[in-house]
Amino acid sequence: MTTPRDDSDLRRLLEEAVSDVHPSSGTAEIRARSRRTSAGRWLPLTLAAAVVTVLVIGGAAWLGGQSDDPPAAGPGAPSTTTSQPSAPAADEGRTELLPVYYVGDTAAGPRLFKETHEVKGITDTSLRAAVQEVLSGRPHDPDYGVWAPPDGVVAGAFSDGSTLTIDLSEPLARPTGMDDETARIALQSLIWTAAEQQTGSAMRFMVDGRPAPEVLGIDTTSPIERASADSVLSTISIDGPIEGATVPTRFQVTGRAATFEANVVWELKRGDQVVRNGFTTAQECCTLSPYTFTVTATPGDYTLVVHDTDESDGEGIGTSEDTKSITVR
Amino acid sequence: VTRILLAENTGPPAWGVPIDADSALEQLYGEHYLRLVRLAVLLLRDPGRAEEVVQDSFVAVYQRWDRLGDADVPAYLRQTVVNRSRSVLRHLRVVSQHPTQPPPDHPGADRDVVDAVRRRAVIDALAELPRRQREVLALRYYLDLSEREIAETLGISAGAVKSHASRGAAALRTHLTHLLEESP
Repeated sequence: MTTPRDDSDLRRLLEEAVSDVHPSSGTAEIRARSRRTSAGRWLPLTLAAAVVTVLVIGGAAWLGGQSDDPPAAGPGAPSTTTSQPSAPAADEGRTELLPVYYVGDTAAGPRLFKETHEVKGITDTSLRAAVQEVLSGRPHDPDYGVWAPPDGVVAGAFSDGSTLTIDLSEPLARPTGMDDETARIALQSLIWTAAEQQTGSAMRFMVDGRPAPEVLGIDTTSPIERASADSVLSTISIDGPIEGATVPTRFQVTGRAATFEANVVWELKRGDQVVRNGFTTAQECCTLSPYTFTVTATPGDYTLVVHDTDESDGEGIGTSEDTKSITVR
Repeated sequence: VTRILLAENTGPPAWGVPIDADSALEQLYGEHYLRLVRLAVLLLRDPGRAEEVVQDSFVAVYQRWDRLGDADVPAYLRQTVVNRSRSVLRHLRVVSQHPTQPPPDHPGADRDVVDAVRRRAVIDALAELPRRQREVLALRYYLDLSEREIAETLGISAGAVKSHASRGAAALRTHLTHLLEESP
């Protein structure tokens, strides 16, 4: 792996090879083309992702090393009050907080749950690190382990600005017992995770640099569209505290819910015993929107359960819930 | 992470970004257009397609200007050009087996002919390399990027950059022995 002598000769050859190339168009043409293609081309849905894209690309390589400074544990979204940026360590990679989607079971079938993972040792793009975390990371909440890809699968990932591409190191066959819907949601976990990092409303699947005809038994000959939030995300989820968190005696719970009349019901349990309970409403009805409430409890180990009200009288789809094991100290 | 980066990156971006889309476009064009078109020629071998790819990338940035914030736009442009070049190559391979159009020769004085032949030889030799090696060599030797920047642009590890670079350089030297020996 040594490169002989200095490479100035190759530099010179490459420089010279294209020295006769002179572009013919200027900024006027770029402006004109922008006007022709701009209408309706960038959907609002991709807007947030577009911003994230460039920030990550732009910032990660040079500013991303905040490695020795773990985020504050506790309720609510992971803290962003990280202090001084340290210079990126050349070999150890950087540490980032990456949103990652995993598949969990709900009354409505398999759905995606979002977790924020602290990923260390990142040496390439945040996009790739996040996708890899879906493939080989472990969800904090064991309830989200519906799809566990086989060990050793690695993936390259990139975006051309509209379509995301994932290049898997090996074909992913559908595990026995996995139904169509779960397979579909599992692919969405990759798409939703990737779309948090780079713009893309669809994902093209490849295996070892070639188009993959199918992944998990789903036809992937054309790119798979990123499905809408309401069709793939869990109708109720707890964002904070995270699984296994230690929280003070008075703590805040945050999450998102899309429930009947925006109702959100919660219980704090010790074993099977409900020690605290209450209800709140999410900001909007029937579409995923944030909720928050505060709980006071004495020190101990608990299970926090948040669910919708069951309006089906036992005949409908039943309740959907999210649970977290937490310690109050 | 996003917010952390934003908060810490409060000073003016390293490349001195102008605020409005039009002056930004002028500045980006002036500083990067030619270089990126030439980069794309190294990747694609076809000057016409190369310019198309770079123009598309500039159009994308111009349209989204208001949403780019204080991002490192040159890095973003670079990555877009590489990704789009890759898509073009893949498309070409699928759609037709015809070779891409080589750069035009400008036969004239002997000296010009010799130069054109040399240029063609280098671009052809690059085209012979596996895609990753070609990308790494172009980014390293033509754009002068660091290993870390190349890794970030291509979405691969720094280790992979190293190995593609050393294999690619060795292969290119083999293809171009005659040029390397005859030149000063």
